[in-house]
Amino acid sequence: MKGLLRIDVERAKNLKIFGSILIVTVMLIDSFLFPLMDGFILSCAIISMVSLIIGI
Amino acid sequence: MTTVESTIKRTDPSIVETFLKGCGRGFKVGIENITPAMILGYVLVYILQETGIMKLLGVIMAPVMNLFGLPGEAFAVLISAFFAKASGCATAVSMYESGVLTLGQASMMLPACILMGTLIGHYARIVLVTGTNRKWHGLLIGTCLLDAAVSLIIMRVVLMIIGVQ
Repeated sequence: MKGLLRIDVERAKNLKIFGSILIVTVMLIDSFLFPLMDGFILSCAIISMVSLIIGI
Repeated sequence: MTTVESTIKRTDPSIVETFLKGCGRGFKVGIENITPAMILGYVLVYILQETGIMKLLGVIMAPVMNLFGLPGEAFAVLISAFFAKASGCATAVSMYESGVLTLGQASMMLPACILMGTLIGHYARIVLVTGTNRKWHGLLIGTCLLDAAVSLIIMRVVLMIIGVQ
């Protein structure tokens, strides 16, 4: 548990950036370019949420 | 004026420089910490709504949250605040916009979000890193949760006195 929760600052920052950019890009594409499948958006949201939680 | 005094004067940053440096740091904090936390809040609400967990939460947590004068769905705010303070606040705003929470209920959640906010992050960064006695871990987390519950009751009373619903 202790080892799992301890990640270095740089990796945490990268995870936060990845999580933010992933979901924002998907949402923008869905809103302005073309509609995406709900399942795909949900998958991206879950991946984004996991990386954001670990990063934060 | 001595040489030492003149050197000190020259190295002292001006008010404008200090202000600009502060602005830069504030911007960095906003981009690196607050924005991802807010995105997490919105993503969490989206996932809860899309998967139907939000409705389930509303039913399951209704008896507990009703004690504080909140709908069961408001539990999602506390869950996201558990991960990040800003995320909890963003969730409350998102729920207020979608009509799940009223203005008073969303306001009620703010002190609770601050008191129990980023609990998991602080637990990992402070409690685990400092090697605190495992015996007290539950108490440390429980104290924050108790504070949040007390703040909800106080805010309910304050908002009732003010007349905000």
